[in-house]
Amino acid sequence: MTLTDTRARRSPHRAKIDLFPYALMAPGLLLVLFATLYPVIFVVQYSLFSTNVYEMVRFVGAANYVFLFQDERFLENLWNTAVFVIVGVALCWTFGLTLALALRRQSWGTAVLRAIVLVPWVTNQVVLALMWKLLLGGEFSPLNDLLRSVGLPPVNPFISLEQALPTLTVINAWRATGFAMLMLLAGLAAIPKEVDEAAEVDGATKLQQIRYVIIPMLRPISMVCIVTLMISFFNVAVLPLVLTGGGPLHATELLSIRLYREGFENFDIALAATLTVFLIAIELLLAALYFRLVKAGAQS
Amino acid sequence: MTTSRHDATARSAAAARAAFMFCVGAAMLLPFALALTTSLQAPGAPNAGTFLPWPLSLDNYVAVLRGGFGRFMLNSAIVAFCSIAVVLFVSIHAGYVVARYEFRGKNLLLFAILCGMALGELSAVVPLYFFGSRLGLLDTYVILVLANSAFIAPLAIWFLQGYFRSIPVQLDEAALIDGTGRLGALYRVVLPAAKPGLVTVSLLAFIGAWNEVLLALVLTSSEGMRTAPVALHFFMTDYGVQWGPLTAAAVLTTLPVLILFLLLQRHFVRGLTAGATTGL
Repeated sequence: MTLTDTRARRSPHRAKIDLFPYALMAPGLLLVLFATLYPVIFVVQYSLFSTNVYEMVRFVGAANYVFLFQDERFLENLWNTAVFVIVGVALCWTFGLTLALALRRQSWGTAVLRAIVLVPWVTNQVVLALMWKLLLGGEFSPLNDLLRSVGLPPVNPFISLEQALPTLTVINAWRATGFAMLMLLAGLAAIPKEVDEAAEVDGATKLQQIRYVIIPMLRPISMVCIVTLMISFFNVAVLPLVLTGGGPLHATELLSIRLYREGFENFDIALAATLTVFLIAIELLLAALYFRLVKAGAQS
Repeated sequence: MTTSRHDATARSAAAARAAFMFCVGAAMLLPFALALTTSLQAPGAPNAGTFLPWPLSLDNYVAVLRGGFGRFMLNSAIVAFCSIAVVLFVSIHAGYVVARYEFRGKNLLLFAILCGMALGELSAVVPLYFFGSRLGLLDTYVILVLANSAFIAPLAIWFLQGYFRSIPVQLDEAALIDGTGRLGALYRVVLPAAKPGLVTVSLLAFIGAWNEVLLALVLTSSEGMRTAPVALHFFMTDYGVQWGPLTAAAVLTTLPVLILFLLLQRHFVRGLTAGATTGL
């Protein structure tokens, strides 16, 4: 009885691959590939053709890429995106760290405030955009009421060539501050009490302590936070689309906005696909960095 | 003498702290407060934001709901709840085998899934439109649910595999000896023990799907299929905006997520930081 059992188990069953784990993994894998691998293949292919809406007309090699690099508007898009992402992430990290340090202690008040800081992060971008438009844009905005009452001329940052991009960048950083704060709070919680106390005994001031002890110890989680935010900011499309629509002129036209416009306003699918290839290349680069950071963090 | 001076510094430090906290709260909530107060103004008030609506009125809400905004909220809810179901289904199974089984190619498959975290809706929006139009799925819930779930699934799988690891493997083994079979061990023993993790994943899926705008904007076309945030977008035309009704609709759109977030905050925080705090 036992003998046949073991033999049955050993030959041919033992040699067969156990399909159970693959079967369980399959739905998730297929679903994710549908939203990643399929789009990647699609955009790479379309970026090599000239197109008439969604119909591939002629193989053109790298012509779409060459066109983009000679397109001044594209270089403007890249510059705007760089400002939006790099300055935005820097601001976001700074706000996040300040709040994490201030709200580190556990109390009733800090718990409420931590929740409040996260509210914009869980609110959808159309709502955020229209709220800021209501607050800052338009002739009769509360901002302009305030300016008029002190005798200053009214402003509308969203239609100003100089102010639109900085305003947009700050609003987006404001939106994500809660996320940065959360990550850094998790990092702070992992710093042993003795380290803080040792610095205090050494007579370091609060600022020195932050500069020379806390920030270096937060380095791993800061890096993960920064890379995650960069990936996320590259993908931000709806907030600027509603707030400025890329304008005035192309002053706030990010890669994301240009992509949306080429794809769904001009129906230039070849160009939209080429822009997407750029976007994906940047994102994969950041993701590779992310994996290395997380792995390094797990080892240390 | 020294004690009183000490008291004074402590008091001013506490005051500075309170002032700082107040400023932070105000900076975060000011736009929300303005939207709320503007939505409460009576019709016929000047068409602009106001912090002091008087007389207070709910007329904007009545008008918005009479105008069919409930339908858009319902669409959002349908998409969000179906996305929760799909995300739970795929992340439970994939997360479980990642946590419990060793098999050839596991790391590669996991890596392929996690790459999904790097790509956002933006990089898929053009291809998915084409996909939807070829299969006749444009303007249906199906494509919205599939697309939304696909972008939430990687984080959900990653989070749940970590959660399953924290459950003692002896539970599975005991179930297997009882003869539940491998799936039975997952469904009858592991899942009940993983309830808090499932709440986290459901919450992430709900918030992600409810707030998604770009895909919903592109993949639907008829008015009856619009989700709430997309409907808000169409409220804002180039010819101007009726701020009263628009802010009322915005408040309605924000409320479900806000309530769930406040009720289940701890779960949400745990899910958000999952990507950063667990190693590969």
